[in-house]
Amino acid sequence: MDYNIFEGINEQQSSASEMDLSEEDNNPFVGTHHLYASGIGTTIDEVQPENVNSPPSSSSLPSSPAHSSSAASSGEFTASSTSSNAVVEADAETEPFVSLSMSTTATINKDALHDPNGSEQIQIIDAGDFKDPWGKHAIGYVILYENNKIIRRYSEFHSLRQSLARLLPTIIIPPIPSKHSLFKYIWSPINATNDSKIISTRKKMLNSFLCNCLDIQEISNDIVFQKFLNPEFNWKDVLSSSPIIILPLNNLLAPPLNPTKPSPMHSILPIPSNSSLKNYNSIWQQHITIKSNSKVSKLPIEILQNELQFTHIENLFQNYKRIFNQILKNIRSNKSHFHSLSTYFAELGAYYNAFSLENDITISNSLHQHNSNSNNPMMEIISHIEKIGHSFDIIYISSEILIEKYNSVLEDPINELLQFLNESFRVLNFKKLKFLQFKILEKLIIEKQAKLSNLTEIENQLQKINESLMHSTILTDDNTIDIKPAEPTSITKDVRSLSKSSSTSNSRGHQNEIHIGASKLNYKTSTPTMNLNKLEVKQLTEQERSKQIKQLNQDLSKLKDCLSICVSDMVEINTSSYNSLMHAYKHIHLTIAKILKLFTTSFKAWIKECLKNWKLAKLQIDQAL
Amino acid sequence: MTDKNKNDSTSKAKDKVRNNPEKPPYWFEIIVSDPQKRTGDPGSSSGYVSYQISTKTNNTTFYDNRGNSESIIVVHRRYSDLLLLHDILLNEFPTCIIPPLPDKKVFQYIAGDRFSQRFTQKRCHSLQNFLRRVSLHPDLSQSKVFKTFLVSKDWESHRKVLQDSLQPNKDEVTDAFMNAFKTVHKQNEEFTEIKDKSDKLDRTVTKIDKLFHKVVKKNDSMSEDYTKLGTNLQELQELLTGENEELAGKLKIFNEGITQLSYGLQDLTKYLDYEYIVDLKDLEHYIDSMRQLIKLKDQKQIDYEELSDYLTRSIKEKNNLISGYGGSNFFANKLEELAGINQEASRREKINKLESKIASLTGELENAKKVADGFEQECLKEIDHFESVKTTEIKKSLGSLADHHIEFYERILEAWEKVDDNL
Repeated sequence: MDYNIFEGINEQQSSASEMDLSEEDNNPFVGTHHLYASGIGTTIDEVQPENVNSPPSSSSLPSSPAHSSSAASSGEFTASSTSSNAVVEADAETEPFVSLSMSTTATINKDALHDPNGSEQIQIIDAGDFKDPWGKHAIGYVILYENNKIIRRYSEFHSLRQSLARLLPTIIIPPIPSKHSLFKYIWSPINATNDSKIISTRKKMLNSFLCNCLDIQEISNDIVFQKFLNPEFNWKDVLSSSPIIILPLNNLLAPPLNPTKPSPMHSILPIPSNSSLKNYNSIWQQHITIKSNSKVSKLPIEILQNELQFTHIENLFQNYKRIFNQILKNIRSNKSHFHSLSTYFAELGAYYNAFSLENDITISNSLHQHNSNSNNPMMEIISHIEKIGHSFDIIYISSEILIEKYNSVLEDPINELLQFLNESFRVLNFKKLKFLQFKILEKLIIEKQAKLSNLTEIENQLQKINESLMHSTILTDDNTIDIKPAEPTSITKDVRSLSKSSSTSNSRGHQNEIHIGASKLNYKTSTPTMNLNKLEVKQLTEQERSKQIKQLNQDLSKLKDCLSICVSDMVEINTSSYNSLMHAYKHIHLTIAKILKLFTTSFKAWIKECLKNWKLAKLQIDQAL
Repeated sequence: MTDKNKNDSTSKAKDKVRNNPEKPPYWFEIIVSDPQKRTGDPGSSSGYVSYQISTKTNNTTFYDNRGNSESIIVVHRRYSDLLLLHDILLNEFPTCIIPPLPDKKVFQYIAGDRFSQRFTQKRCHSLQNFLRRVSLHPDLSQSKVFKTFLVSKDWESHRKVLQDSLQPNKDEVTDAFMNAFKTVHKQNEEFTEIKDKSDKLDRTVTKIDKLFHKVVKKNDSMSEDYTKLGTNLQELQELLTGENEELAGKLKIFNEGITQLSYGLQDLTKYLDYEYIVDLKDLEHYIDSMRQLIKLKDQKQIDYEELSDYLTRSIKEKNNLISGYGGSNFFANKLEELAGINQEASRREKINKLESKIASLTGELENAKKVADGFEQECLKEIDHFESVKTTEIKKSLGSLADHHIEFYERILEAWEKVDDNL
């Protein structure tokens, strides 16, 4: 086994996720998230057993569902009132889907990276121009899924992907081909007639996107994804309804596995800046080197253990990214070299043909004056040269075909892999940001605790002073200056036991009971101001002091709640991200193997074609000799 | 205008041709190989490159005292030796198309890479082409100097003698220069066609040659690409070792294919660069040599045409004098009259002069006509020969072009079959 180093962790996580499952039974959409942890191979069949047996070919379908599905999707351009629906219905019948030439679409399936035995659960069967009720042209992609035909536009795929990324922050969302730059779009707007190449590429990549999505449990079970594949749903409506509109602005402020159901505590969590990601490694190192007993809250042991695996994967993926980028650059330069080379072949073909016609400079006189034995070899040589010219022509054509394949077999899949890697980094960064969030909370708690102990210390001191004042009337400022937070350990101990109890108990149930004050927590407090506070403390009246102590205690308890939420989030992220990363890890390796195989096949075909031709040419030359 | 020597040599050459059949009586197998850098005389700063020339022939006189026709005669010659051979042949056989030698490549001398493998290998191949062409020529292959060149162990002493015998013919140079802007009035249709066609052919071959230069350059960058790709794949493979051994193994196999592709392409490119392009270049030069001969033939014809013009004019003048005052000479005659010259006497004198001139001119003209016609016949014969040599050469070089391509594709096919089987 290649993955046995991770096995132990997987087991751990699956048991942890089972717990999660039972806790989150009330949520219909998220409950199955962690099924994935128990193995993807078996679960696909469990979830969609009917799809495997259903014939994917469109011929088995009556023609009317196709019309109604296109009508349903074009309906999104109209208001969803019943009167306009009738218009759409009529329109769809008079303006049926205009398919692109079959030559572009038929060849693509052969190259598709998925489809090992032709029985696909999901497939984009066609792509082409369709007209919305107002006569506006758009490119639609016809998805065949569970015997339904759904037409979606590229922009809809794009918004689906963006929504998925927000709904599932811990999941690596399969990539789709990147958008066109605005400049390019202005320069030559995409339409069915002039950009069949782009459309066919997109069609292929979107097909691979859908297959990859179905592969991932979290995505295929997501209601938004399911609505995307349901012709009943108008995508615009899906986008403007729950759960998408109730998503938090930042996923750090929501439970990672269920962002649409944030607890009240989530909304007051601090947001670490993206720039702080740079310091992640040093912060992490610091965190694990500090003695555990001086920490406010302990991170669950699996997080600490998994970190090594995460670092390993991240480094590996970074290296992949670097190498893939190099390879891509390499392939591009090779492609352009190959292309100019094949252009030369074409020219050579033409010139050899000219050569064959011009070769013999005395043909007319040899015909007139000389015997035939000097004439014959001349005629032969003409056919030889012609044959060589023909060879170059063929090589030109087959080279061009191979170069075309470079796109579909090498460039596109590698680009897809790079996008996968970047997606992985997004997920990794989310995990890191969560940890940084945790660190901010931890720091705040330490600060608040220090302040609190400071205040209580002063309180005690003042009490002592007051007591001594009873005996003597001497009062100096000097005494108070030397005050130190004498015994913070006793307090932290209490705090730790507190946070422990809160993390072991079900945090979610707790949270609703906690009363959140209107006053936001002051996150800005930092160490340099501590001394200032110390000085201020002296000037506070007894009343103010007690008020502050009360406030601090309140803040601390809120912070500790936040911290416990954060930690439970981290556990969730850890498991889910890890599984997703492992899935990506396997996917990348599978894709590399597929790329190698596909390239080898195409390349071999090219070699064979060229070899065949040269052998033919040679045969003719030899026969003449 | 035509010097005797040349006349003689031309007719001699003509006789020779008549005595010989179209094809050379003997076959030769000449291989030029193994270019080696030699340090020159102590005096000269740089060395030279010596080429090994191996000959096999059925002409027994080549073996003189040693060996039989089975053994191979090996000599070592340098470029300047071949140049000397070329010049002597050019001098001795003015009516023949002397196969061209590769350019002197002055640039390489300055750049200092005339000892580079690429340069010497290319020149080696070109020199072989030259010697083979000479050996295929019925007259040139029979020449004494050719035999000496291929056989002599004491080339050094021969060379000095030969060098002395080679005297640049300045007359010819000036003649050629004088006639450079003259064109033949009555061009033989055959020659017009030959010229046109050879121009076209030359253009096409030059174009193909240039294209192959580009192909060679592109192949180099392609092979470089594959090398780089191999390095990257190697790195990926190292990363995958420990992660996914199976995939790492596959990558290794795949990389093997890429490496083979890179090497195969390099070999193919080497062949194209060192041999095929050289063949094409030599063909261009050969066409050029042929055109040079046609030019020489044209000169002979121009000579004849001018003579004929001159004769016509002289006859006309004589007729004028006989028939009375030449219209054009009216003023001249008047002047002579005024000068007190006896018109009648001078007229008669002039007529006499012209008559003798016409007589000698008629003789010359006949001679020139013979020369020109003979040259033309020789020329056509030479062109026929050129044509057959060219055909053989093209056949051969196309065959080897196909062979090398087949070899390349077979090699990478084999490599990639292996890759495919193991993936």
